[in-house]
Amino acid sequence: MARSTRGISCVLAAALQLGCITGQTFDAARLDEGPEELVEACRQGDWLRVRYAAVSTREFGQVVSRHERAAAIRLSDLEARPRVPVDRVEVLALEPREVRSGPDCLAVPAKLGAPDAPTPVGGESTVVVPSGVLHRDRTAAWAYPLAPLTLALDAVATPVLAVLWFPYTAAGD
Amino acid sequence: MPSKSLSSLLASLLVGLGCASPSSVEPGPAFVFPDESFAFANELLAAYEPGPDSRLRMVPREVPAEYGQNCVAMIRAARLFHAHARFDASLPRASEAVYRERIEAVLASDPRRKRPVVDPILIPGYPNLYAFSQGEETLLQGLVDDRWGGYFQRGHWRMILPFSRAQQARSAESLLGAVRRGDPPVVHVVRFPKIDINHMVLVYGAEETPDSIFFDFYDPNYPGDHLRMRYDRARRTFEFERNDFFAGGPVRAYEVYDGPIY
Repeated sequence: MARSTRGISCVLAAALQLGCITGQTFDAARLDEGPEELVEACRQGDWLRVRYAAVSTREFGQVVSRHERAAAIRLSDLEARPRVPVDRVEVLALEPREVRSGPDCLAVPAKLGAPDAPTPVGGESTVVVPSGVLHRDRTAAWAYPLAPLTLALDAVATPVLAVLWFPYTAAGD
Repeated sequence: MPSKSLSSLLASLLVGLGCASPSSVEPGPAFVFPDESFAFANELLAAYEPGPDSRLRMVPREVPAEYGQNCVAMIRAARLFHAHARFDASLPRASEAVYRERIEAVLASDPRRKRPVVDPILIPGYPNLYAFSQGEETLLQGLVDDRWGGYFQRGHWRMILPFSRAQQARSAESLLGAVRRGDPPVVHVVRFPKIDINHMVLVYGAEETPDSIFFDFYDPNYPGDHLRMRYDRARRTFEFERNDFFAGGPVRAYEVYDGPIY
């Protein structure tokens, strides 16, 4: 009995992992959160701690909400040449209250910019933070209450699709 | 035909699951654009105009398309000519019957083959597919015409499943690797369940920047045009530029004619 339950659970889990209805629902609820403006920046060792205004948008750019966010960015990644791709820069999410300049974290001028923006010459050097570094993936809240329904639909639909997959793939070009 | 497809699918699966297939270390020859593409266009069956939401909506064309809805057939054929044909402009031009026979032989070859075979089919009298499709346009349009076949491309099953950001990131890396290896990937561009784009292109180049990967691609709707699709590293999303039928913006992209189940 336990064995068959485990087997059914495995099959169900495999089916739900494909989950086209659940997956498409969450895909439709996809939001992108990016920085609009840096509010504060300070340096602590090899980390640049930033507090910033963030905006969440739908895929085609409609603004959904604005938040205050904070993060710590590995400075050696920002300063590396050639530039480190934005998705490989080490970033840690922080609470906004954790970013306050003081003796432990020295205030530095910083601005948002393109990853290939030239470093300002002369005077106090400004740290350029590529906007993409502070991107966060988000999901609109309305998707979560739908999950039980979409999972139930997937439990039925996915095995049917799996059966149809074989002849389609075999006969297809 | 289905039994042949089934046996080849099973054989591919067995090879793929049971044995390590030899991988070629040497990169294959690059897909040369526009030389290896068609000079004629895949026409749109409808015209498009901006709707109130800035998306494009279909409206009837004033003049019906003579040759259209063949993006799958044309991209498939371009890949086949790359892998299975050799052009020789120093030889005299052949008769239509000879060309027909050679084209049919190329089109009957394996579309999953990405690199030139050792015994390609000879196309005399032309330096490349671009010139060939200018000189023999009517013949090629007649043979590279499979509007319904496009709906039965084996990899289409994938489009109904969701594409996570992580999957699109893997897809971008995979396409980049394929271009660098000289294995020009055929890419299905979709926004399912929305149907504002359902298109197929062939990627032949790539450029990396810190925030993007730009993929150069051949679009059969725009012969000779150098086009680029952007992969946004931060959003882990592909972006397709605005054109006559798509308002531009994020899309999902995955490789087809690749392996036994795509």
